[in-house]
Amino acid sequence: MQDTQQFTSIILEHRALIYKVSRVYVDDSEDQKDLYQEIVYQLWKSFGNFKGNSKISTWMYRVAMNTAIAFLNKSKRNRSVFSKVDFPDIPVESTSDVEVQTQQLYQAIKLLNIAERGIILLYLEGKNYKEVAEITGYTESNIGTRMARIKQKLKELIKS
Amino acid sequence: MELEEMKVQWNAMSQKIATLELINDKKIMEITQLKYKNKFSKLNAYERSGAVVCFLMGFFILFNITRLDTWYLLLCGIATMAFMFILPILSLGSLHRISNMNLSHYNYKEVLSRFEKAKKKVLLIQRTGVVASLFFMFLAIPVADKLLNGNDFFQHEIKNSFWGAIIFGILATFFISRWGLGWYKKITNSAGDVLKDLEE
Repeated sequence: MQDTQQFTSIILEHRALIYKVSRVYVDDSEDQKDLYQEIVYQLWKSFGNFKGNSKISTWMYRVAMNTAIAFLNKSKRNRSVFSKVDFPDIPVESTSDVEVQTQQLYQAIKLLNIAERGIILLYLEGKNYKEVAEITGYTESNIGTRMARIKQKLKELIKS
Repeated sequence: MELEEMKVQWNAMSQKIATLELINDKKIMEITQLKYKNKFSKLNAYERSGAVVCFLMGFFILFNITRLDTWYLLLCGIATMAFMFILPILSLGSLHRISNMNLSHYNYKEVLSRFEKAKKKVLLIQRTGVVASLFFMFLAIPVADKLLNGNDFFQHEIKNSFWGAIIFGILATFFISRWGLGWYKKITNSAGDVLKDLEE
């Protein structure tokens, strides 16, 4: 019970993290809801194995991003496992200038390959190269090289 | 837009998202409880039903193997039976490995790499299965003819309509194999690109 309460409060505290991962990896709002739930489930499943060796958010990013890869590799028919749960709609942004720009940014990120998408997400979330390397498994120097490439790609994508 | 500008914009959006409810404790509990119950309800349902059909057919041949009274019918029976048991096991095994990957154990790069490799393997098994099943269809016909009608297929005159079916089967095998291999090549090339990028 203690575990469940602790888990619930962690999820509530980091609910935005899960939302952002869901949005970066899938387009459709129904898929985003499914992925959100899948991430919560995977976090719950591996919660017992979290030993506190890293920050809770580092562990959450790792599980959430890995779940997103798994989700993208599943066929549509194997995704809807939570049909009985009445899950709240993921809010869609309105049309103010800032939100249009945010939308553009999401769209541009989605045009990157999966490895790059994970790296830019962590960078935008304020993680330094060391933390990005810890979550993704790349070396810090490799992250630097990739970031330069991603920066160039995003610039071109947003321009076009 | 420069990367730093993107970061500022991302932060502004993050602050806004932080004010949204998105999920509540009741929903979290529902998800954790329901998922355990439903975990096996839909996953790979088609593949599992296909495997059950194959196993039933395999056991049907196994229990009637003594009725295949010539060496060639026995050979066709054993080959068909082996196919009915081995292919579903390979197919379900590879799907099982994908769906049961421990997502908290590996880092992002490892998970990407494992999925790409697993995808290639599943596709290879599935495509091989499609082509092989057409081939095994020809082996299964004499077995079915013997077990269901008591006839020795090879001792009877083959009717014209059956020749038509054989020609159709050969053409279908040819075109499906070509389609299967082309598709497989396309997917594996794309998976290969991802793996190459991961190794850089």
